[in-house]
Amino acid sequence: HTERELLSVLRMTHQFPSLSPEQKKELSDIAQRIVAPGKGILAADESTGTMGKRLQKINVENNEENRRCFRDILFSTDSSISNCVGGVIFFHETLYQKSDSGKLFPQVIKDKGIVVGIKVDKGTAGLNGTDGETTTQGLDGLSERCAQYKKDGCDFAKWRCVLKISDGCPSALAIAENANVLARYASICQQNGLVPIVEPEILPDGDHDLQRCQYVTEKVLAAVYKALSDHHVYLEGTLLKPNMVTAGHSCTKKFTPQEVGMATVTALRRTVPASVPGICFLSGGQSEEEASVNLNAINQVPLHRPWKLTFSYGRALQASALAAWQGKAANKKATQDVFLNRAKINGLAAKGEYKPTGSADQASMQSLYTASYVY
Amino acid sequence: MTHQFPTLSEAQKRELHETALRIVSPGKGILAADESVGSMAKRLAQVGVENTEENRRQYRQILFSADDRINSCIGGVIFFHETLYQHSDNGVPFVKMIRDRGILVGVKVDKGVVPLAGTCGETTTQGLDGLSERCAQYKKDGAVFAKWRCVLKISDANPSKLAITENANVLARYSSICQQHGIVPVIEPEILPDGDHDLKRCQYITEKVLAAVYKAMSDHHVYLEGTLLKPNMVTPGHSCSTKYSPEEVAMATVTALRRTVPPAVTGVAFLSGGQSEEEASVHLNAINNCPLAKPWILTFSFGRALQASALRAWRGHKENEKAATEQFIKRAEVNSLACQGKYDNHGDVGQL
Repeated sequence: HTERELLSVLRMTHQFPSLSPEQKKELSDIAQRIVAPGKGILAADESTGTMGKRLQKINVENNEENRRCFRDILFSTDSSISNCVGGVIFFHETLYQKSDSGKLFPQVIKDKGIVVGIKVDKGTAGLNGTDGETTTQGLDGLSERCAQYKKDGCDFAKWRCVLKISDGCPSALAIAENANVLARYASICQQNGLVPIVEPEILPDGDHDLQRCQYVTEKVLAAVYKALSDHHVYLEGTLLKPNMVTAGHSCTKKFTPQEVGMATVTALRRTVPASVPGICFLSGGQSEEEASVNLNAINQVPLHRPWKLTFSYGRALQASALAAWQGKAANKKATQDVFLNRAKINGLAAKGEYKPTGSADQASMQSLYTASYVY
Repeated sequence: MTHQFPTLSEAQKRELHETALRIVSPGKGILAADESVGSMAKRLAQVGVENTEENRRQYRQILFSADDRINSCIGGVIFFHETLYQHSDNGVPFVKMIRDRGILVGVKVDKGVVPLAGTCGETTTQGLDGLSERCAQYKKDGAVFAKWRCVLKISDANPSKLAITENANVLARYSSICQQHGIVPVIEPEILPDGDHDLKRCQYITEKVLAAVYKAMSDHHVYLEGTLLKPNMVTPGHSCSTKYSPEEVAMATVTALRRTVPPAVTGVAFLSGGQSEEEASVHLNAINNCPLAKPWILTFSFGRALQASALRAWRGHKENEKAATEQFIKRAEVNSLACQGKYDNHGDVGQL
């Protein structure tokens, strides 16, 4: 008996049960539905504080009703939205709010055939001894929270880690720690029937060039997938939400969408296993139009791309809608039209079929970059 | 650790990538003719032939004098060091014979396994000392790719974490050194089929091993597009009582690779391990017909599974040479079909 126990300590070669075949199938099906051809994700999971910044820009008070109201407008857009949106990420508060018609928001979304997701991390925390680097917290009680979210209508979750590029960053610790916490989160989600979206965002702050971002992205993603392997995460039931590979915001050299596309796809081909069903890019500080044009270029790169390459956009789907709304009920239809338009454009971009007419409006061209973006 | 220091120029990368692509061109695979002197002893003993340098030369000549039919089946030949400097009866260097028909020359560069103290009979592989200089010389002597074999085994306590990380690391060091000299590294982390474990266990371990291999490749800044992988297929252990169909072997193999091998890797060329010639071909065929998306070329790098019949036909007799060569050509053609998923073996299960 003791010898067996000893051996099982040494033993790392036996597969102990993690997920049943039924659990795996459920996760895989959910992931496939979210990234069905031509579809991406609406990231509507801005925290209360972050919504405050958004609403401030249009002089709208940051209260619960206004936050509910704006989400209601987006979620009640006509059902053709489900041709381009496969999933919506919620913030906790929003999950329990209702539309004007009295229906809970998750139900509104599900009725459109769109999958409901939930942001489950609890923000970043400092890593002592580093140059301002962070990890992300939220693992405590995560299993119980996931179980509850699943009951309340969610089928996927999102967790954001943040890395930055500078002379000494990202450090080996930041890379390893963030990869590890993402893998723990992913493992816990899957136990509770939630597809984990894994987001290792490398901020665009800095004057580094495209090549540097590509190099760092490759190192970060290699660490992420090694950690996922170590933690026995079922890759077919996950999604990746990375940054596109771009030059830093203060980089003097400009790069074309084709260069961004090539650098991005090359980095992903070198690190992301083919079993990952979909990669849904974050938009970072890119303008709406930039984010669409770059996604389109990514989907036209002449290299083999075994995963779906689509969007998981917050600002890049909502900026124009916010500008159109201005907090006024009378602007509801105009807001929805603008939002639907951006969603359709990104749906095309996710298939490499977006042809910009060259007359993008003011709001969509405006860079949404805020230095060192924190949720 | 965030700055990219120069490793390879664009031109060097292009050369490595193009070499890798040529080795695994559609319909082609690798002839592993790199048996060491010790391994050749075993092969020749089986057919009653004395293990002399001359006999080894004669035997390789049988393979290398195959006619043009193999040009569309064989993209590369792995040589043992001794063979690289041998000639045909007519005085033509073997390297030249191979290169003249558009087949690329590779060389085994490892120096065999050595034990890892404190483990349950596990090993790492040596050969890094002076490897850079050796690669430079091999490149001058006509080689454009190399091979290095690491060995892992499945048992109750194996493979251990140490064995996995140590072998992954040494494979990455070898790869890095090769690429500096314009030599494409074939990376071979062989998990032996010895044991009574089932298919699932082999799949699990293969996934862990390959995840470690590619993390090490990343850490050592290896240019993946300029590499090839030579893994085991995912199979049950030899003493496993459960039998699995070729489709099950294929699904387990492709699933394991999809979870671990980045799409940037140009090609995967399976070793045959202890499989019979027919078994290896049938499995390779099933792998290529697996309905999951496969972003790399999936082909063969066979030693025994290309040569067993040829060896048996030869038996050391000069008068059998043509017949022996013919046997080799036959297997090459079968595997050329198998690596395209086009091998129709009419369900001849008896052959397995």
